[in-house]
Amino acid sequence: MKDGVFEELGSSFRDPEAKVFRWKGSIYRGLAASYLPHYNRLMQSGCYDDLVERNWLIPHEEVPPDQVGLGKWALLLRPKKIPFISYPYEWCFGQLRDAAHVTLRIQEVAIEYGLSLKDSSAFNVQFLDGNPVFIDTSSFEILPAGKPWSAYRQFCSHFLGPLIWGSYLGFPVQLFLRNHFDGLPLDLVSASLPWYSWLDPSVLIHIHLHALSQRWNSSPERFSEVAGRPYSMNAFRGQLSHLLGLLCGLKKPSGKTVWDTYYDKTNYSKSSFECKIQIVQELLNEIQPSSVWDFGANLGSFSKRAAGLGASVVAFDSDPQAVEKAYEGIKKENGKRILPLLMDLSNPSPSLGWAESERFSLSERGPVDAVLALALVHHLAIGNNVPLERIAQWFHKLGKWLIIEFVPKNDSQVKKMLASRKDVFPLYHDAQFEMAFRKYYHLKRRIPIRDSLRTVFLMEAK
Amino acid sequence: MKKKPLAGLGLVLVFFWVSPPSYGYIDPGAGSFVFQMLIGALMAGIATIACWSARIYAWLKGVSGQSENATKAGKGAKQEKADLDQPEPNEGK
Repeated sequence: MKDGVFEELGSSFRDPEAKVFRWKGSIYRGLAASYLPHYNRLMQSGCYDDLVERNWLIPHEEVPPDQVGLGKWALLLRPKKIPFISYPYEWCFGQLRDAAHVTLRIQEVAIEYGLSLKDSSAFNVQFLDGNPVFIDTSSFEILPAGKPWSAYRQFCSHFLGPLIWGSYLGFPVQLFLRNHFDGLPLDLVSASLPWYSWLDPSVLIHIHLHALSQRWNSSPERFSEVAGRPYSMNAFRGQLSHLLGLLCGLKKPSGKTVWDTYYDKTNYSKSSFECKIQIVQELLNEIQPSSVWDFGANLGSFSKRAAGLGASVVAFDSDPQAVEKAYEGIKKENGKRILPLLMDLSNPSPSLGWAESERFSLSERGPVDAVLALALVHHLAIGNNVPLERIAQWFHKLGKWLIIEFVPKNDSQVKKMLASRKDVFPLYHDAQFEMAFRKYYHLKRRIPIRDSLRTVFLMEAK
Repeated sequence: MKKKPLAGLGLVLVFFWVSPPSYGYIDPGAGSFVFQMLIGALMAGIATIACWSARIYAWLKGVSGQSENATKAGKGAKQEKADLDQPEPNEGK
């Protein structure tokens, strides 16, 4: 992108009254003149200050459009920067529920100021300093008098449906949101829930009966029968309160997964694990990264080391329960620099949406200063049959520095992986590993882990 | 033949009369719209019950708090009298 040329974000085209674009390295939200009455109500009523004080709404500064030579907008907003953009299909249950909670609480506060959210997409929420924050400042509109919430269906599809489905079925369903871009269809959720979900009044109302009501979309007669009736503020408050109660009462999926208790059953001895921690800390101290992606992070033990040096860290893991536990742990510790996310490296988040440009792929959201790939490469090479050179090529795209742990075939974990299958990996050994990675990296350090067969490498991208 | 343009105009008027007004740029779904209107009374009732429950609970808590204080005050007075009735410890023996 050339300096001075603004780049409209691929995700910002649906709302004719506001657009988000990138200009000279910063993100701006341009507001059309027709939106200004709503914006002024947001700012002058005290709603904005109230929500920002609660850390629910992203703060912004106003920029006169003429100052930056973009006179076509009535007003520009420059919001606080989000270190890493994540998407609902990358969140654990707890993160999706917290995002739903903040959306509902914002709506609850907004209606008391005479405002309402005109959309409640899960993509309107991001995680900043460990907390969910609403980023779509132009989503607020003056509350249409006597009308129900226009974003109710979207809220149920984006948040309530996936959460209830996951809660009842006992396994995470967020990845379904990759395919269902505008949230899970209500009829899909309704049909997939067990029969006893009909006995829960809240699920009956907001999912099952709500799903049935979608058939009325093609029935204008039904609409005209009730459209004239006013929707009272009391009804609005009751609806939001009911939704909040339902949300808080949902149990998170508790199914056991392969890696949720990884640290209880690793093959590291106490001394070898301590040695690994020291090595990684030493290497992080050496490179002082400001941004880190930690793949196979599990509970985030090593992510915390990076965060402790002031780095902004995204802790990826493919195990939903591991991400859930990492998120809970970080919340308890009030961790602000670590964002745990669900990511299967063998099938990472792709570009999605209209023209494949509404949501960024994983690699498009990089590169970062440093990538951690600890106790991971054998899962990719042996578990997923990815050749070492391709692993090197892929990591090379993602970051300048790489701290990677090589796990040889005679390691007990790899032996377990090969116990029930044919060994078709003649090239999986340390010499081949180094040769494959030297094509893309300078190998800076090579440190064996004491009392272990594993080796940690520090590499710098060529 | 003359009736057809009038019929067409009538259809257009009916279309605009029954078309849902737009709120924001997303499709709220006519079905969801109608559904909320239908459950509105139920939701309003829930809000009212919740509000009154909170008030009743606060009132009951206030009442029981007062009676607890009165009981404690009574017990405290008894204890003080009992303490006064006890002989003082004879230190130094």
